[in-house]
Amino acid sequence: MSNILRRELPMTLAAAIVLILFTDYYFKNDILRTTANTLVNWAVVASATAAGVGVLNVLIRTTRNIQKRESYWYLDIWMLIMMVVVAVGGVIGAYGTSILYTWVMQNIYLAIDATIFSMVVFDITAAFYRTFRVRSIDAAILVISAFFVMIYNVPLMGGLFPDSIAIGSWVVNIASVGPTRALTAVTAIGLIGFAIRILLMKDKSIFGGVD
Amino acid sequence: MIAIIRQVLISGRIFQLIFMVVTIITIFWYIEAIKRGKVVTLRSIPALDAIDEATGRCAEMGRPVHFTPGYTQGGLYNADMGPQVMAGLVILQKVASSAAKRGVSIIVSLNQPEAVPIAEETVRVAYANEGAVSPPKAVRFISTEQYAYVAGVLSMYLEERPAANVLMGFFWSESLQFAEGSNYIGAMTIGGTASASQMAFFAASCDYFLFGEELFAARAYIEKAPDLLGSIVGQDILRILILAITVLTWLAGNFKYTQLVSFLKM
Repeated sequence: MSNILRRELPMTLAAAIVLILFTDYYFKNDILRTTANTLVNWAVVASATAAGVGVLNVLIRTTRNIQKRESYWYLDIWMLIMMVVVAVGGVIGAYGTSILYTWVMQNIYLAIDATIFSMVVFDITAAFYRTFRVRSIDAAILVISAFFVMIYNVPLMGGLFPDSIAIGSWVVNIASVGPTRALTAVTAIGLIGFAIRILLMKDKSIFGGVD
Repeated sequence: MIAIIRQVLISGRIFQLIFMVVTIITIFWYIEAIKRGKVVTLRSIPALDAIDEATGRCAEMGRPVHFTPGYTQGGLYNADMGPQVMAGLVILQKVASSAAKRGVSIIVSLNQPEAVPIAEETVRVAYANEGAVSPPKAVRFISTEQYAYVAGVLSMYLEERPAANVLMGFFWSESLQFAEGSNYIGAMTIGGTASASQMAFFAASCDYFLFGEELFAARAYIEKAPDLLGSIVGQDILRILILAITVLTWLAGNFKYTQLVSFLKM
């Protein structure tokens, strides 16, 4: 019984729903279209309900962490305060137009978000340093190409060496496009195969655990 | 006949359906062929072979192994990103099983709340199969927000110092942040994604990496079951078919033979 509820039933339901959505994509049929739209709406409603359950879960877990004085419990208090502030700010007035909500998003959230994103530049430099070492002919071609692409992307260098812009442009817009498209097509076939394995229940691992 | 097909099927998707049907038949054909005894060999995928090496390293150092299937905008429902995350979760089974065999603790960081039960079940079953209990707080949902998720994973790197990081799924800019962060703490890094813009970053910064469609072929490579191997061989045949269609279309375009293009657009 447990296995039926945990594995077989969800898999059968998933297969039936996917079959309806799959058929709706190709066939002109009003009943299929209506059923598919209803199923998609159900998914939206289920997600919204899950979000509500998620908030409750976060409240319970953080409260428990605070009570037990687990590591960084004081950050849990801060998180709860911010959760209430953002939730109240978002609910008062329309979503996104509340002054409190907008202030929190613009002055706290976006600033932190941009800071973490900007760290990528240091990671790129570190990866660049490790990768661009000429150990073989392939690596040499890579470094030379990267040099011209860099010149292509830096306005000052383009001003100093205008002819080199054409080489960088060729590498970016012509040489790399073909392989990228080939890679995309090959990956798409892999994805289709993966989806078919799941739909035909040849691969049940995405439902968790071993078959 | 064509008029009936056009009445029943949506215009512009007829060839797509034909290709899909051919795909399914080809995959089934090769699954049956392998079950009947056809022998196939898969080329070596070092990144998957290295998972045991990674968990072995963790066992020697007494530190956990970390796994993350990456970031998706809008969760698993995202049509471009979701499947790669699901393919990553398939590899989690191998990582968890390998960790359980060696008595290593595992940490799974997630950006998708709906993936939590899948990951929990995967880890639980993998440890149970090895006669072990899955570690407490192994599966951690961090945040649906991209850089909150990045910050959570990086702070976990610094606090818990995993000896190996397995990054398999869909990644954006966090690919390099995770891989370089992993290098910073001296951990072994295995990356894998089919995200075209991030493969180069993984190639540059990981010790081993899976490339594109290898991510989707991982389970077949690990288990070598006929059902899975058959689909991999079928996919290879379809790749040859696509290559042939591409060349034919190029020739047809150059020789002003428009019927082929019209058929593909049908």
